[in-house]
Amino acid sequence: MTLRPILTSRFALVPGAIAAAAFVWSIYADLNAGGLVTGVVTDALGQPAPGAIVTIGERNITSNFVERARVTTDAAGRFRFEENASHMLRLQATGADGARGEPTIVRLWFRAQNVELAEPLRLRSRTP
Amino acid sequence: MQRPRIWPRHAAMVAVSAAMLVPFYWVAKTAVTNENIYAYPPSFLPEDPHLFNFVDVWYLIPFSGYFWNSAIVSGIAVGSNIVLNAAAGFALTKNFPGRRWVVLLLLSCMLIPFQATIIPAYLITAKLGILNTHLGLAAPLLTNIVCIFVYKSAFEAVPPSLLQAARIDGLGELRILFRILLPLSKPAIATNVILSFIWSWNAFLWPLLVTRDAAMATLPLGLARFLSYVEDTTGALYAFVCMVLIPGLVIFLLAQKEFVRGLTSGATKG
Repeated sequence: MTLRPILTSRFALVPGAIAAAAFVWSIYADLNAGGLVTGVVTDALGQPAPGAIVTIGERNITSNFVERARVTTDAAGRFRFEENASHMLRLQATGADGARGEPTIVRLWFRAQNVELAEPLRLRSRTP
Repeated sequence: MQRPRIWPRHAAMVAVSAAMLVPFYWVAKTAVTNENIYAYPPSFLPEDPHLFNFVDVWYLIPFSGYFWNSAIVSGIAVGSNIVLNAAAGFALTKNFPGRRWVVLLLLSCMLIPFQATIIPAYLITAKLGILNTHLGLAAPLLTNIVCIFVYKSAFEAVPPSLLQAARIDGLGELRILFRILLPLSKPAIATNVILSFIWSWNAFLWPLLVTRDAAMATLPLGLARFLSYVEDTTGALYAFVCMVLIPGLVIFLLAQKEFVRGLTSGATKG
């Protein structure tokens, strides 16, 4: 009895295809899991907000979001966080003048996925 | 002669099938959205579908651990079902004193609900020292009476002359079973694989009783734990349900042709 009919049957092909897809996905995830989160904070007018503090919270099953770190934006309003270990983050920016932005939920495809935020974190204008 | 029109029958069958698939569609739709299932009016099409709920399930609980526990338990159950049920079914095709009583005993055991046997089953498992192990989780599912009769029916359909020829050629009974009868009974094997897999994969009460720590929990237990932890994520809960269902569906779809043939093969025999 040859192996060919067994290997070409649907009982081998379907599990094999699933295993191959899982393997490829695992390699892709491993290569892109640097834990890097980058983005920009802007003020209410859309201008970069230097010196803003970005609070980063991680999703947890027992509590909703746990604060993980705080990073400060540079002169161009950019922030960079390199130690993300979660698959879901909540980012909230607070401007140097105390203006706060809306919390932004960032969902990732796998833990520690490198991500650059497509949309800036926008601060609200501070009410006098 | 005018051929009877078949489209009304097909239309009715499509409508009934669609109605039966609605709950599955609803589960899948809720899994890819964050819609509240109590929202009124309900939307039939998903709005802003995404797959992040599946990612949540994978990471918020030790899903892979639960999955492997379920896979190991189901593997043990399926493997032992094929061997033990086929052997029992083969024995029942033979004439021996008290065969009728054995058949009656097996059939009467089917009348006893599993819940009624839980305490003795638990005590036996504890005496064997296999509580909180994969073998202990699979223990009540190692054999199944329904599948014994499926094998019996399949083996009786094999021409006796074939078995006599094999005996003349010097094959022992075990080799006749594994070399001749089982290869000729693929529908029965498919039926047994599907039924034993689904029963062991979905088992909840027994694993709940015999597992002592979370590391040994199977997917249905994980689902219950997830439900108790996560109250506000309807989408993630339904994504979990989908992830539990998918392996059973894949196995059923792979073997459905043989499964249907296995269930109906004994139907036309005398």
